[in-house]
Amino acid sequence: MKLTTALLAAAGLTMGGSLLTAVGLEDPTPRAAASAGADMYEVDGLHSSVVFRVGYMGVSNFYGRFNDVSGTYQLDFDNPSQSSIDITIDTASIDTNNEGRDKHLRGPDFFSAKEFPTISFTGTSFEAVDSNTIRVTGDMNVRGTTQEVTVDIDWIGDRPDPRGGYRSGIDTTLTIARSDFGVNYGVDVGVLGDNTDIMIGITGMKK
Amino acid sequence: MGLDDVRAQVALFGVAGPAAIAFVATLLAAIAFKSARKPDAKDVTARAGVGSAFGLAGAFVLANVGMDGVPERMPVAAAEWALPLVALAGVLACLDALAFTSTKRHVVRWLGRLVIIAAFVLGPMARTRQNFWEGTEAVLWIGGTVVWFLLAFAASDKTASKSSPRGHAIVAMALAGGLVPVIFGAGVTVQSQVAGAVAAAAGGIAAATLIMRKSIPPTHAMGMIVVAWVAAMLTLSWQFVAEMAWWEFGVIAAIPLLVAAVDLIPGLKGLSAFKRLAVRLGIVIAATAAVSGHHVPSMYEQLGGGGASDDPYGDYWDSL
Repeated sequence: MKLTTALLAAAGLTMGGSLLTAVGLEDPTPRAAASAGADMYEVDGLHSSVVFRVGYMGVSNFYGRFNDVSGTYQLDFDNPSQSSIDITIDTASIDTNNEGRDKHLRGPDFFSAKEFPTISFTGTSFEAVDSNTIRVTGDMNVRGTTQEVTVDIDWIGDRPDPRGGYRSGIDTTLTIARSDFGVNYGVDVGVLGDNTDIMIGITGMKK
Repeated sequence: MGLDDVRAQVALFGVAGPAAIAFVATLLAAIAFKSARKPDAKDVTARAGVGSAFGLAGAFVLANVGMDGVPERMPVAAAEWALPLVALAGVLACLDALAFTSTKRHVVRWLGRLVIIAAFVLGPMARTRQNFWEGTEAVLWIGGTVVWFLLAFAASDKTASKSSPRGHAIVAMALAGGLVPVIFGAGVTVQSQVAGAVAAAAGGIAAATLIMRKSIPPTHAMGMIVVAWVAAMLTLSWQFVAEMAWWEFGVIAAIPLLVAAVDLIPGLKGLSAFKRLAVRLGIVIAATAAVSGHHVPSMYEQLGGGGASDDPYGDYWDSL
């Protein structure tokens, strides 16, 4: 019985593997197409993530996320100056798994989402670090305040998708002092940390 | 810092400190300008109004800085405008109180008020206009706000001249204290704590009048700050920026006018000063209860007073 189950499972995996290969879902290769980065990609919000981490009372790290992200990117590793990236996050989409806290975070004490409905990042200068990483300096706008930030963006991979499109993925982590953007709540009394790590994983669909 | 420290800070910067500043400032000014035998006694005594003006504005600044830190930049968000605007009103109110003659005081008073109105229109309203209003709607909002300011200042003068300084301070205390839950309910929690500080400061002024009853002049200058503060609360708490309902916004905007209306109603004009104060207080309590009443139970729950709760909002606030 056990042998039969194992054989069936092996057969299923083999068939599944064949099916995946048939639609082109082999393991992605970083920058599979020679000029993949030079193409313009539109952010696939469904398969993209923006997660943040902030210290809580100096004893732990607390995580939350923004559920709606959009924008475009074009990272040309051969000609970095031809690159561009515009990412927009819907401030009201903040999600910390607690309705009350989310309401507070959307309010004037934190992001004032009605007044400032988006958080944005626009790249202004680009420099290739290696074959899969590009250093981007850009303007980040949070709560109506713009600050220049520099991030290293990794090109995760690119390949055709099962529906005839072409996808790529980029990833980055940056740290900001939220007080630089006027988001001060809880900093002075030591309840919440000032430095905030933002982890961004983006899937893009070739335009 | 632990929870106890946070609560101690609220008690210090939100209640005790503001009340003490306002009490001491009002008292010292009354003593400093007490000169009943001089020919210009009336004008000199009037300058004692600087005490309540400085006390109220100083208490507001202390509460803001104590609970939200010293601002490190020019205001950007609507919520950041409350501190500089009320502080500006405080400075102008002090100039008003210190003006040398009643004629000059009148000019200084209204010039100061025009500066406050201009600061509002060019400050938080300019940003709100940018984000939410276009064309005619912007003109109507800005025009309506200017008209409200002029009416509220005139109403404030009426109330100050018709009521005792103590009565005026008690009305201001009831107004500020009564607005705490609705501001909290709008999600502007720091400013709801500051509203508590304004109430405490008004209480301090009222307490000072018990000691220096005859040396404290009508509180026109204090009213100037109260109007600017109410405007700041409305600006940063209304539906555009936070979660305040339109009817709540309207009732709060009407309170300064309703309080002054007591002296315009024929049947009430003949009442004694004490009874008119009772009517004014009744109006403030009824109006603030109307806008704040339904926020009180949830605020109580959210701040942990209700004990264990299934409401995630309650759990969150209890955890801060």
